[in-house]
Amino acid sequence: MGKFRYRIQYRKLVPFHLLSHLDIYRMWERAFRRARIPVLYSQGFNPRPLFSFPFATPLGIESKAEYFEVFCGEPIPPWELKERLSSEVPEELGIESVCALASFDLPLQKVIRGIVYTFFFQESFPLELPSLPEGITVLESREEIPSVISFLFEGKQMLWSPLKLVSFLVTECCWPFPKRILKERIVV
Amino acid sequence: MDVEQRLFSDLTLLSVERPGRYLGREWNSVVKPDREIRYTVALAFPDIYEVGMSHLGLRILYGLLNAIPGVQAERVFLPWPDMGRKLKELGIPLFSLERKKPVSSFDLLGVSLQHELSYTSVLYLLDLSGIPLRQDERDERFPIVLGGGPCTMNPEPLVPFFDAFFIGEAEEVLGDIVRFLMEMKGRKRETVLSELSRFPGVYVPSVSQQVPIQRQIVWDLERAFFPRQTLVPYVSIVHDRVAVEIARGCTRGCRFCQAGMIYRPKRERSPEQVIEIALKLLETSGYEEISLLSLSSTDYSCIEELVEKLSCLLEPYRVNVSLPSLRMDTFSVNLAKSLKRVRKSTLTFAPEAGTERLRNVINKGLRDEEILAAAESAFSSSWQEIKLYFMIGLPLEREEDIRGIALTVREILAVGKSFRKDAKVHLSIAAFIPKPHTPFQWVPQERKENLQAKMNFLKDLLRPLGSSVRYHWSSFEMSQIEALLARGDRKLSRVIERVYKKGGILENWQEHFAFKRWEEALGEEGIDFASYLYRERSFDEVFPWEHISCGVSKAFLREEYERACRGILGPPCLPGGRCTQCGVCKDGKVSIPNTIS
Ligand code: SF4
Repeated sequence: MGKFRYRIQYRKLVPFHLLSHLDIYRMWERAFRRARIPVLYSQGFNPRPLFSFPFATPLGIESKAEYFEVFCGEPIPPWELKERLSSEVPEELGIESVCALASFDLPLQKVIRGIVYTFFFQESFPLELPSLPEGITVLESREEIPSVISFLFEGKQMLWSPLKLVSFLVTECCWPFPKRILKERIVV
Repeated sequence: MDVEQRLFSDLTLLSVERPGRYLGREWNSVVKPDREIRYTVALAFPDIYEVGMSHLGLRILYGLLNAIPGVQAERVFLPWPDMGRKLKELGIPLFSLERKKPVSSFDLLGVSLQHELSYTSVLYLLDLSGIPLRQDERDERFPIVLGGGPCTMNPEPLVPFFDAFFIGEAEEVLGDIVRFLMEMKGRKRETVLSELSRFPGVYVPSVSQQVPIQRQIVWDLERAFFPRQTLVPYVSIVHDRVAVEIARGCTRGCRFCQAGMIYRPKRERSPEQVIEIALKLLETSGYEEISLLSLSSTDYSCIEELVEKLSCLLEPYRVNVSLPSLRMDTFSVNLAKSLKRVRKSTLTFAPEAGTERLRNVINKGLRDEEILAAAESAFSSSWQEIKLYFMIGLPLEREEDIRGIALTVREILAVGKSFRKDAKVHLSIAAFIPKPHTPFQWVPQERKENLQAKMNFLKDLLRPLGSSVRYHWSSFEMSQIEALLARGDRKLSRVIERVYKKGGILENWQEHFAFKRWEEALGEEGIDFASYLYRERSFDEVFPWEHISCGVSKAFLREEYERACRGILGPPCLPGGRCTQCGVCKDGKVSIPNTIS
């Protein structure tokens, strides 16, 4: 049987930011089955679909840049995959793009260089920007802290949950807790 | 700001455990446009999402009611205490999952009563919804509160909190009731209730009615409503799979088992229909597992053919078939083989008692050889572990019966080890609880000290088996309260209310249960616990539940009890053959299809 590899980019918008990574995994497994797309399964006692999620976005974080890769048993044009899957999931978890990968294409984990998270606060506040942990920088820093601010996580810090930065900012720098956090995009 | 905005649009719920359970929006959930809605029903399950969503009855009613034009049925579950506090703190009353509407704004509030220990949770549900607890304190502004489910077989301890109870199987009558209530909308509460009391199977305590109220029975399962579409939760729930009911009722008539009495007679759905429903539900849900539900799967007329056929059909889709409860005398290698085609689910057997003698007393009628043969089928088909249910504290139990449990486990393990060295048994021990409408409704409950002593004795006996046996036992304090409420009367409603006010919620969760609250509340009401639990009832005692009839006659129950004392088996329930043994069937009008094409 052939093995056809696809990369799928999807959203995770309000209110589905309250789901865990595992919940989302299960949702995709069932959505593929509803859409009758033949996913390949692992071997062994408890076969699981061959999905690979490069990063687990933590519960609470909204995202426009979720990704996973999947192996299918049949070639399906990416646009068709997108259409068939999109009608099986809620709009807020919808698919942004699907691309077919060749076997030599590196997995996303290998090519990603950074992740941009945007924090939304209740209001802007007069605090100076503290010195951030290594690997994390502010995009467009300004005089005071605006109510919306974006951070770029690079290197090892890509594995950080943005909530870890929140707890750093809240405890070390007396920042308020953000109202929302959005995973904006990834940098490759 | 609405609930959606306040709770589900930012990080507000980050501080509660598993917020996904409050989200709704599951695949196949039903939200009709406002202009189409004339009558709203809240289907409440007094436990958390993961438990309530695992209940098939709720899914059937959800489908049944939402299929009625004009009716919008929505689910309501209880919040875990952290979320309960959060709601109180934010001043948000309990809301439904579908449209996040306050429960108090619904026209009808149906409450599923599955377990006695959820009674205080019912009060929690009403309270969080801002609905007065007592029926006589509620006026037209509040929904009509209707109870349903097996606990309505003795609704007495709950009477002051409910407007009405529906007794029995809802598929044939509930639709009519709701359509009728929709027409009566806006009328005075007393008028609605007194009209409601004229429906069969409806008990309205505030109206004087002809008794007994007859349990409603769906005679032909094949024609009963069954949904072809099911909700697909995001968070994992207790029974996270498609469930198809293949049979209702049980032919065996185990004397301790309330389900075996109150779901008589046994009826089956044809294999063709089971397969049709199964495929539709799987197609529309995408689930990876399907469970064929009944009280005793292996008693289904052609279970082997059905499981084999379904497993073959589903194997290419990686969907596996599981069965909840298996009889050891009919379990076979063939069945074991079909069940493991995709992935192996747990195999569960319930010998219930440790010796043949006691198994005859309880009418289980299972021979030792049959137990070992079933174990052999399982282990030889490469299962590593099987799960066994036993009870302690059964009537007429002797020391040898406790020894018998350990002995049976030892022999099963020996069989298992002849196939694989790592064979294991998972043992689950529960206390026997006398339930109303069973042949054991007259017998006392075993004292918890004795249960503990028996359990300790059993633990000593199991010790030599080492890590090949995993075991756990239910809380004996919890079973005492379950027993108290099961055969309780109206006086206990005040105790339930006091326990709730002392903080008793979600009490069927061991971590939330506190025996002390019950002791205190009983003391404050001056109620003697022992007279409910440890008293042998005389045959001429009139029980608090006799105005509710499940169809099985008291005379039959008594004969069965007398047969139990003599250690002899009772007659099996064999519908269709003009059996009138127990009183449920009047003219043998039960259909049992038993072919497979
Ligand atoms: S009358 Fe006979 S067939 Fe009908 S429920 Fe009772 S025992 Fe079963």
